Amino acid sequence: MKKYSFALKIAIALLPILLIGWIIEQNLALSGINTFTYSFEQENPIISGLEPWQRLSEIKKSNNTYSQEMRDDIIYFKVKKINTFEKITTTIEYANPNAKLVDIGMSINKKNAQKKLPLESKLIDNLDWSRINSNNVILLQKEENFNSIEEFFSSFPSQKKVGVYNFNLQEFVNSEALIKENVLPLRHFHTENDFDYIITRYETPVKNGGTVIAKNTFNAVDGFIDTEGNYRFSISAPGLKESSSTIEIKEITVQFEKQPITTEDISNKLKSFFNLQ
Amino acid sequence: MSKLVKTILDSIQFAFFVSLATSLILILLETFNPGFVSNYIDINQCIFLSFFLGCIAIFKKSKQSPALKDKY
Repeated sequence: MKKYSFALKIAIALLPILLIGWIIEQNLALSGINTFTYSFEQENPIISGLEPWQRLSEIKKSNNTYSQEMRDDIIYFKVKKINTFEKITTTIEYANPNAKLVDIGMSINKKNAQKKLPLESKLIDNLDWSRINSNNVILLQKEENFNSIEEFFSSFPSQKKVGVYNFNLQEFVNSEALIKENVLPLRHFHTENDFDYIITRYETPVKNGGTVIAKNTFNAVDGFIDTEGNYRFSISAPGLKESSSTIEIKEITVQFEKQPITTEDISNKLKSFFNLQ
Repeated sequence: MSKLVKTILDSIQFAFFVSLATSLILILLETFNPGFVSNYIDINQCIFLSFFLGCIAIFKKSKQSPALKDKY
């Protein structure tokens, strides 16, 4: 009996050690990755609820999953800054029957200017044009005239309509070759007839039945942190209100990334935690 | 008191001390760095657990008290 009693005490003593170890790992992200998920079931201390409420439905439950409908072109949420990270990847799981463009934005200054990155473009996803994909850059051609993206840049078709989505052409093409009227940023009202080429830095989202899982990554250093210590994000779907449609948001996942922590980093962090340096 | 009951109560008393120490450490961490603990777990749950185990640990003490021993 004594043997079992001793083993039980060891197990009891191990539990808080594991708990405190897990809390330290969550805070310091020793592995370099820290992930938080908000699935609308209960409040999350890191990811806030969506706002403003006027642009949203109430949180609803169906088949044991919770969701909230977005009814306007743009909504916001906040993410608490818990440590210094290099990258923030936001993954949104949603059902989107109608909106042609869905973007994720992160505030980059006090005036709430947003750096926007694509989540989903129905036009790009459904286009059956010739497609060249290289390092996450996609070139779509109505008529297949170029064999590579490099060739497209070097012999840029100035007289053709080029749609640009999350891509800075000026970095790759001589400014003299860029005619303003022919290079158009992709908008929700555009159709395939408006362009001869589309160039984009875009990752096609995972689609599972009616659910879309889309993600994009921001540089954490670009993000503006408000007085309460939060990053501010937006989800935008231009034209959503006009079309009287909705997007059902089911889950928001935020993954912070940085270099894994070494033993030297740990000693420095402990010193700064207890104000020893 | 049977050996089994004594072992269980002994373990509960040990668990009480461990949870009490854990609660104090968590409160200390939270005081130093707000959100360090409360962003991930509810400290109150740990305190309630200590309280609950403490109540049972008192029961063990009362079982062992000489006054009660004399009485019964």
